Amino acid sequence: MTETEIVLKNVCKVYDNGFEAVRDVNLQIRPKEFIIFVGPSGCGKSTTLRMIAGLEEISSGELWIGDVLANFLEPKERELSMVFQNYALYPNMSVYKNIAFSLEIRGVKKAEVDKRVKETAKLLGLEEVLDRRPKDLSGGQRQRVAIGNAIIRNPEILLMDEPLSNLDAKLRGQMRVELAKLHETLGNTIIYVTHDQTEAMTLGTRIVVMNEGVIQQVDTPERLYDNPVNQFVAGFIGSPAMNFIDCTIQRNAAVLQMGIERIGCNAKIAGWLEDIEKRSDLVVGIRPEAFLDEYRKEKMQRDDLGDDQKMIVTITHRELLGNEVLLYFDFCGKNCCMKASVDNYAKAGNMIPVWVDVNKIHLFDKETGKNLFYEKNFSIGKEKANR
Amino acid sequence: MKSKVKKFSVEPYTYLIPSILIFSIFLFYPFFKTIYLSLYKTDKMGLPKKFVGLENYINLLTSKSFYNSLAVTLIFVAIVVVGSMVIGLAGAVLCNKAFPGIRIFSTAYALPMAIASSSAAMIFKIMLHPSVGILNKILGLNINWVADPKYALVCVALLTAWLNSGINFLYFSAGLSNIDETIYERASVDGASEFQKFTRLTLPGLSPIIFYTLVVDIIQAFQSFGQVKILTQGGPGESTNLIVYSIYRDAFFNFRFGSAAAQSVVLFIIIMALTLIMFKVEKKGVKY
Repeated sequence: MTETEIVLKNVCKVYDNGFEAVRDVNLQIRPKEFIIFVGPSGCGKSTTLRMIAGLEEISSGELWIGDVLANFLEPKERELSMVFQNYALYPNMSVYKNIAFSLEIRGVKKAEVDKRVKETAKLLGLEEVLDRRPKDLSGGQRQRVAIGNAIIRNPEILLMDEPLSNLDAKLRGQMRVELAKLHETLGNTIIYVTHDQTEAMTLGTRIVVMNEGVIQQVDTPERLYDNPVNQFVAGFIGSPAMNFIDCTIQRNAAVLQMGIERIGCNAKIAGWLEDIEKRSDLVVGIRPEAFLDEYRKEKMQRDDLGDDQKMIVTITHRELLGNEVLLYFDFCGKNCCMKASVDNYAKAGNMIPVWVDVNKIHLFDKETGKNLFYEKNFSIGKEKANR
Repeated sequence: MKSKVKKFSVEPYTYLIPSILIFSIFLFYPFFKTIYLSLYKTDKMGLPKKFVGLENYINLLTSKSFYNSLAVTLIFVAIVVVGSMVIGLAGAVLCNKAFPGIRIFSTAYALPMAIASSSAAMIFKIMLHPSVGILNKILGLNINWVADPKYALVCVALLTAWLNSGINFLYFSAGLSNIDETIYERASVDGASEFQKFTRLTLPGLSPIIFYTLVVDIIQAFQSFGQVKILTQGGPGESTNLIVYSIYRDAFFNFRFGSAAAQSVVLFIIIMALTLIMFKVEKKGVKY
C-alpha cells in the first residue's frame, strides 16, 4: 500500500543555546522499511525522529516525504502517526476514545470509527479493556493502546520513540515479536528509535547507528554486526560488547602484538595487513564469540587455529547464561569477555588456553576509530551477496 | 486475629486544642450566636431583648428589598464567577508557553490576588469617574458608571471578577503544568487543531481544578463586600445592594441585628446548598 519514500538531506538541528543535537544527516528511507535509529542517550536519534514528525523544527537541510518538501508542514499535514515513549495516552478518555481520537477529530462517521476501533482492538487484543481509562491498564496494555491509536488511521509512516523502554524485560520480548508481526501485517514504513541494540538487531530491516548527532553507519543488522565501520559501532552493536585491545603490527610480520602476547595471522588477514601502514597505535577488536575455548574449538573443528593463535589466560569471573557461559579474563590490562561452552567449568583463578579466531578480528585506528578492514570485509560481503 | 483494644488516651486530643480554640472563638461561637440572634429582637447595642421566633425570617421573606438583594447577588455572583474564571484561564493558557518576559506577564496576571479589594475599588473609582476617569476618556463616552443603575452592578462585578482572577490564574497555571506535555504532541501528530486540543485535552485535564475554583469562587463572590462599600454603597437605589452589604447596613446603620442575623443565616443556607449540589454534580461531571 505504501510507496512514500522519506529522504533527509543534510538535516541539522541546532538549539538556541548553540548545542548541535543533529549534524548533517543524510538518509533515504524506502517504503515498507522497518528502520531503526539506535545510539546512546543524547545521540540525536529522538531529535531526528521528532524532526520527521514535525514536533521539532529543522535548523537546516531538507526533509522530503514522498515528493513534498516537508520542512514547514505542520505535524498533522504530514499524515504520519507516532507512538511516544511514555505512550502519551489521554488520561481523561477511555481506551476506546483514545484509539478513536485521530479519526473522531477528522470527522469520520461514527459507524466507521466504531468498526475500525473494534478491528484495531481485536488486532491488539484490547477488546476487553475498551471501556477502561489508561490509569487502570497495565504497562503492556497502555503500550498497545498507544500503538492502536497510531495504526488506526493506517498511516503510511509510523514513528516510534522508544516504545518498549517502559516495559519490563519479559514483556519487552513479547512486544518485540508482536511489533515484527504487526509490521508484516500492516506493511507500512516504520521508523523506530531505541537505545537498545537488541531491539535494533531483532526488529530492523536496516539500522542507523548514531553518535553525538552524527550518523555512523546505516546497514542491515547482519552487516552492521559483521562489518562495523568504526570502533563506536563495533562497541555499540553486540552484547556482550566487543573487546578492544591495544595492538601493534610489526614490519614484515603478520603478527598482532598485544602487550606481551603475539597472535599470528592466517594468510587472508596477513594479506590485508600488507596494505596497512605498520603502526603501533592500533586497536584490535575481538567479539566474545571470536575467543574460542578448547571445547568450542573442537566442536567447530577449527584445526586451522594453532599455537600461533593460542594464549593462556587467567579467568577472573564466570557467568552462566544457561546454554552458554561467559568467562571474563584480564588481557593486556583490559577485562575481556568470551563466550565459552557450558562444558567449560573454568572458575575464577583457573588458567585456560584460549584461541583467537583471527578471521573474525577487526582492526581499528586508535585515533580516528576507523575500521581498517571495513573495505576488505565490504567487498567480501558483496561477493557473498552476489553468489 | 486478635483485635487490639485501644485504650483511651488524652494525648491525641491535646493536639486538637489550638485549632478548636481558634475555630471556637472566631467561627463556632459567632455562628451559633448569629442563629441565636436571628430569633430575637435586639437593642441598639446588639443585645437580644425579646424572643420573636421566626418573625425575622418571615419579615425577610416577605420583604421586596430582600428579594431584590437576592436577585442582585445572583447576577453579581454569575458575572464574577464566569468573569474571574475566564480571565484566570485565559491568562494561564497564554502563560503556559515559554516566551521572553513570561515572568512579567505571569506576575501581572497573578497580581490582583495581592491587591486589597478596597484599594482596588478606590483606584477603579478614579478610573470610572465620569469627568476625569480614564475609561470615559479612552472610550470617548460620557457615562457615570457607578451612579447609573444600568452599569453600577456590572462595574462592581467586573472589578470583583478581576480581583478574583489572580488566584484562579495561579490554580489554573498549576493545573496546566500538571498536564503531560507529550499528550499535546501526540494530539498534533494525530491531527488535532489548537481549538480541539483545548476543548478535548486542556479543559478535561483541568476539570478537577475548574470544579474546585468554581466552588471557592462562588463562595467568595457571595461574600464580596469591600468594593461595594467603597464604590457604590449599595446604590444607586438598591441596584448593588448585595446580601452581605445589606446585612452590614441592617446591622450597623439600622441597628436591626436580628434581621441582619436572619439574612446571614439565609446566606449561609444558600451557599451550603449550592456547595452540596456542586459536589453531587462533581461526581458526574469531573472526568478523573
